Amino acid sequence: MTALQTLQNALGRLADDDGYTARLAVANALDAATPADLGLEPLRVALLRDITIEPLVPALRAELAAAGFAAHVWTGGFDTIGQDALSASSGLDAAAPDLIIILRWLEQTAPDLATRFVTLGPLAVTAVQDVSQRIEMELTAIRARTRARIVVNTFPLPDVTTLGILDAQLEAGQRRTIEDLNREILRVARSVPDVFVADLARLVGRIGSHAAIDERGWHTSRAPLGTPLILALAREYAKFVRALHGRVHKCLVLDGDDTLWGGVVGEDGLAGIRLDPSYPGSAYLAFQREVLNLRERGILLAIVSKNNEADVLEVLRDHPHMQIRESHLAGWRINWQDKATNLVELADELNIGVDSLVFVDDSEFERELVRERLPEVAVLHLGTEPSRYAGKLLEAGLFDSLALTADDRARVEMVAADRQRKAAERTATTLEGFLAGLEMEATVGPPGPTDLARIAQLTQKTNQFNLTTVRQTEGDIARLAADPDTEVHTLRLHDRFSELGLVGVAIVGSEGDTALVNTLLMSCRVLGRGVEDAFLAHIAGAAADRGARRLRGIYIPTPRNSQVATFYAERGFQAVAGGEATDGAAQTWELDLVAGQPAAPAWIKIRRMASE
Amino acid sequence: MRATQADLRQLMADVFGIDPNEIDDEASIDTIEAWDSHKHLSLVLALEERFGVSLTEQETVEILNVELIRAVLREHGVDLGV
Repeated sequence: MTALQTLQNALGRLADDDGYTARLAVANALDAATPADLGLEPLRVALLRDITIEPLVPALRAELAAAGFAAHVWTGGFDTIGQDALSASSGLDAAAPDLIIILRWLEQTAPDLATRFVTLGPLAVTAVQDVSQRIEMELTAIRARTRARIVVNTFPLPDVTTLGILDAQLEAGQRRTIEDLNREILRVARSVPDVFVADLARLVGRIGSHAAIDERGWHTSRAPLGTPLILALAREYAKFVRALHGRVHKCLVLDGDDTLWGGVVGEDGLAGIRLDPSYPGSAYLAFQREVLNLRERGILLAIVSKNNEADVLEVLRDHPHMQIRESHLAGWRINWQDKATNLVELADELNIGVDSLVFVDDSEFERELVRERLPEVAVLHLGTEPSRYAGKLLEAGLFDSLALTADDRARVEMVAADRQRKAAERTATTLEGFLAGLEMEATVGPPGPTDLARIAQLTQKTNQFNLTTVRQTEGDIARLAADPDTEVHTLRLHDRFSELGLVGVAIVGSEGDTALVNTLLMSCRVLGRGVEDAFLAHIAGAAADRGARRLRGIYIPTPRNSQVATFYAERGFQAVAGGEATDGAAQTWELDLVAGQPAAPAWIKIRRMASE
Repeated sequence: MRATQADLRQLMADVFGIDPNEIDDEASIDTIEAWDSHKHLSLVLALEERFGVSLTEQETVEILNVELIRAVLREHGVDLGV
């Protein structure tokens, strides 16, 4: 077996084995193989800590590998967070991290608050201030030297306290004081750009302190993380990395029988399936409600089921207890063909990548088939107990993101409008007639202050129509928008059927009389309508207005953006010598703005917002 | 708990990132180069998970060779045979 096969096998095991040893095996396999051969994206992580976290490192690397990243982890010295943060020569800068994880433990950071709380009295407030000021100072110092994203943590609440039942009666009991400290940490994190909070207190609460915290390891080795907490924390950090690097999932694809309801509709019939307020139907009801909650936050829903379509549609339309209805679905494939083929077709219909699908099925055969044929699909096994389905779905965190924008919530409505659009397309006789019939209006201009989160999110999530795939945070965008040498352009679209929101972003720098398109992306929901041409016309016009004679575009190929490989060539740009296509390398294209500027399609009305 | 010597060897190989064949009956913290204090913590966690046992404080610091690991597992009702 080659090193690469060993790694593949070890990664394959993770899906069904949530144990520590399976993660050690992945970490070893990563050391032996060249992870780039598996298509894993390199990632540099720095881990600053005041406790022994070495047993966490292999679990973290394994979870990151499962999320698509080959992580190199640099670990700061034991209890040297302050030095690591404040000194440029500490090794942190040399590690050049993409992500900095700071893991603090209350017994080490503030022993008084943790173990001598009753002796503090009114000084507890001061102790809270001390910790939050120290954290703020460290974060500010790190932020001044690097743009790496930083993840800090909350402190777990003690499950036993000196004051016992009295603690909960007091305004300033120990648990409440530590909750105050956690709120302070959140405040500090929000005040420094690109700092995020991993809620360690929540993880410990879910596991239970008794299993999560290893008092024995704390005393023998200053290693307080119990195995369940190590596993949960590694998974939690991987969720941040996925969200920050655009590995987010957009669509939940559900099986029907024994997933959305108990039993087999084709055999048991509409009245025979289990779905009602009493057990076991109640568990399926709870699961469906949780699925609809995900839809509220912008996740597309779909059904892929081996059944007669009419049987499942009857359940969707007529079952009295069904929570998920036909109108909630972005699409479905209810037929007898294999599920891998169905998933590919569905992704195509919804205009999203296959890698943005999460597939849920109770059948091991179907899960294996999809894993085998479509390794890029996230396959989720909810276990064998319907009462745990809802919890498992949320715990997997496959839809986790770091911002929730109005556009997210509106997305599912837009997909419904998209079905109406497709119906209109079928009745229109020419493409131009159809596009004109959409009555599109694009609003172009600089971003407003409330747009920054959405712009950052688009740079993080857009994979297909994204010429350079440069991921930016909200802090990056704010900086770029304020930079006098850079123009950030946005495009908003609405049409006869719906408001599509902010769907286009371009970031244009300048170099003498050349305007440089460093970022150009469009949300996949508006492709194929000429909107990208309207946007390019605006970008070129704005560049010319600022005195540019040339517009230079860059295309950086990724496995997912081949649809824009010829974008510049098709629009009259010339390849710049030395910038030609070589495998995987950036290509540079130029358009002479003096000779003429690209025109916007006649069927899109354009409104220009002036800069403030 | 049914387990064999081979299970223990595989576990230690996973913890230390070495070949299972390198782990013989004489293997100890002195013979395995990768067996440092940090890897030792992973070893304790992996043993507890794999064999479903919960070691005492004292045991976690004592198990510094294969023979002692087997003896401690036996104390907890896990017999790896010969």
